[in-house]
Amino acid sequence: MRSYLTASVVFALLVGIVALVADRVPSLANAVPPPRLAWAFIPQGVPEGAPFAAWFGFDAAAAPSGLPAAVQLRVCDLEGACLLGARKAVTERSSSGLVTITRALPPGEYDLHLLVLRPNRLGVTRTVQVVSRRVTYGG
Amino acid sequence: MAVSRGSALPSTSGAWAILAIVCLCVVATGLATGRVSQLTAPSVAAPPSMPQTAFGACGEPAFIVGSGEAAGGELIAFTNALVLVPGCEAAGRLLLTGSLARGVGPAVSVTYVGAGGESTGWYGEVDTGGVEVPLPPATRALVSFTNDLASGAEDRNLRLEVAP
Repeated sequence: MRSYLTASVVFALLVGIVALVADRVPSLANAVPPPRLAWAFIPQGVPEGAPFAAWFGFDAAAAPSGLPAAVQLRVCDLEGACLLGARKAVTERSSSGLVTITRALPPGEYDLHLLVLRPNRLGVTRTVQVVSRRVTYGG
Repeated sequence: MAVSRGSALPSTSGAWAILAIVCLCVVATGLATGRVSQLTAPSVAAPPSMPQTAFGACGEPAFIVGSGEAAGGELIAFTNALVLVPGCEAAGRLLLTGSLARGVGPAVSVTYVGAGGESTGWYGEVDTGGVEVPLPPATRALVSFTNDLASGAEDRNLRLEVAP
């Protein structure tokens, strides 16, 4: 029984070590650098009834990085409650564009976050860049 | 009797072994995913600056994103366009007009970009009656344009004219 216990402990430790190494070593987790925003624009004023929106542009060389990248909007009220919009893929052909999130929200101030997402080779989607701005909705 | 019970239930050491494995897996998973949570924590950052390319001349709006038609001081933009209006030495005006469909126009936001950074010039819905927005001297304007919720997926056009 003691040998069984020892083997189990060693196995569990190995699993943990492999997960840690794969997550932290860039050459294993992300062999290519993530795409970077060249610019982004988030209007400070959003008409009531219109979607929250952010326009973005990636460096052309960074967009086709070999792994699928995506952008996504997250809108948070000032108390920290957040909503996520749909993800929009970033490809070589769409390295600039617009991403929106449409929700019926009461007029007021919100924090709008433009997230740049990319999965690593382990399949874990990671946020590699965040651009934020406080916007006034309606009013 | 005791032997029979021992075969049906795991022994004490076996139970400890299973418990230890579960604990180690939980710890290992936590270590591995804890790093991800730390990296995905939101960081407040100002948007990277807009491209500084020389878009058009004074009073000639140009597309940054989106499409439409642009000629001199007039521009017609299709849905979801982002337009840059270059600054002029003298003050000017932006005349915005929306399409007629369903009587609801596009949702527009005008952002001034000057030496002091960005500020909101005007935002709201534009119908066929049009809206006039002042353009201060030596100030660029970013005009962003989406559909309102009532219009659904139906496209809208925005007509933008730069006037002295």
